[in-house]
Amino acid sequence: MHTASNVAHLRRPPAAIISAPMRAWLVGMSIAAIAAGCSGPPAPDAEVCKDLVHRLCAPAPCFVAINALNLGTNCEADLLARTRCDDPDFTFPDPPGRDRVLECRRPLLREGLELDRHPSCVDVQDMLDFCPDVVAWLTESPP
Amino acid sequence: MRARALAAAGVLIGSSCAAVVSETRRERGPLLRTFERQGPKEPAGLRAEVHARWPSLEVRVLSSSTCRAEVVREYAEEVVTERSAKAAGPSLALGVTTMAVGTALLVFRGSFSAEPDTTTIDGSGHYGASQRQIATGWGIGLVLVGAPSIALGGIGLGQSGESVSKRLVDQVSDATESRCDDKPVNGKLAVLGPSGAQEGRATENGVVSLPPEALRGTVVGLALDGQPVGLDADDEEELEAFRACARVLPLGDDAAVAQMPVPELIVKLEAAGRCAGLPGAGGAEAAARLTDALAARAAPVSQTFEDAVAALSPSVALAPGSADLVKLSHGGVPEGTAARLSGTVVRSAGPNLVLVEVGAQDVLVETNGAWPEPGPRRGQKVEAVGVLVGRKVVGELDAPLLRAMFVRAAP
Repeated sequence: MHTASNVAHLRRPPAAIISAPMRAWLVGMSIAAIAAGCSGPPAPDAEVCKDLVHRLCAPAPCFVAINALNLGTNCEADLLARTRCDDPDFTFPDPPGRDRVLECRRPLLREGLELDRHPSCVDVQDMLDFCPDVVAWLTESPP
Repeated sequence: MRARALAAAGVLIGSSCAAVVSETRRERGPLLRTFERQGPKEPAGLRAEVHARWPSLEVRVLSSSTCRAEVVREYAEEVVTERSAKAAGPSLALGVTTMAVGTALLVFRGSFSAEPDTTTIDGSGHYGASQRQIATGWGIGLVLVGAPSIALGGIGLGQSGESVSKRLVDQVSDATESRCDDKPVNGKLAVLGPSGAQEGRATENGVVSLPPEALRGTVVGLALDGQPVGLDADDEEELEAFRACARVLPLGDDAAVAQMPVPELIVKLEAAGRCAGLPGAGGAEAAARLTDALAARAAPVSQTFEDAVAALSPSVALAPGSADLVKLSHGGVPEGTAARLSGTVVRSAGPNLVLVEVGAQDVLVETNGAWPEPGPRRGQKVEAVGVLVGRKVVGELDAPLLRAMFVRAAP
């Protein structure tokens, strides 16, 4: 007959099965896999150009844009006509070039990537201040 | 979109961690047996056995050990180890779900549109990802997270369980220590006095005989080749009795005894009393002759304080603040010195033995006659005249001893 006359408990600290480097590897791999599925093919120059014009002219256009780009009442039509973005075979002139236009477009994306998202006028002012070559292209002024 | 994806990945990765908790408990079973065993031996040093055969003291030096005998109770004990991984189940379930969804997304990725999302162009000039790209990315991510989660959950469940091991446990319930392995030791045995060791005498088979003159003075211990030699209480008592005999014997003829001053008579009587405990030494006979001589010179009971002072002519005055008291506390007053004492009774330390406080010095006062009425009581101021006969140890108290010829209450 067994008698439990003296019972002592010894608790050991828990041991994590997965080590810290292993977990970091899993996190890294997961982020890489998800990030790989987040963007599609490069958009044509014409679509990038029309996106830029649309964001600058999204109603109501910022005063700084109208003033700096000498725009009339039909902002988007004016800019499309100046840049000739409507042509499906349109390519960015150099200067400013596609990369420069993409760089200068970034402040206009701070409010969101969606096309109908109106950029803040502060961001529009930033773009106009730091990208005189793009402004010159949009106003059809010689560089 | 990207932030949501990262948050989801973090949750999934976090769930993949399954910790294993191990808990051990010991359950003591019934008593199996009780047995005795010998513990380790410890060296106990040197000691001496003393046999007094007047006029020589035979000392036998032995080295010995301390043996330890232990009574041990033996029990059966079970050591139960329980392992549990509380997160293993959820980790396995979430892993299976995640894996299933991820696999399904990858298997059926062809069902999703491969057309890019032309409604958005990102900062780098790319269209948004097609639904097939998104499904593929999530599928890979979910599989990457789900597979380890299943594996870890499985390992956790595999490690969970209970293991029992049995063993015997000894518990020492009692232990006794005794002297053992007595072996005679040879060397040179020296008597240690206050000023150091005397000349050593060689032992033969551990035994050496000491003459009375070697022990007549103060003895603080014995040493064999510089190593201290201990004595049991009985042996120490026998050594002290032999020393007392050495101080009083031979007593001399009656004419010599009659010429002894009273303090010397008292000191020798003290020693003869101790020597009487040694059979065959003649201590009792010497004590009787000394008592008679002392009675003839100064009857202890019938005389007055002044008579006792006149008989002893005390050369030392022990009173609070006196120079003689300082000398006494530094051991500067030899045995046999007649002294006059003034102090306060602290307590009775034994039959006819009273502890008296003289300033900062305690003195034991021994009387043969009656203590002045109403007997010794705390705080009583007394005067005594007698002879200092060395020191006396009573329990933890070690104080100079005054053999008083007369004690009276202080005026």
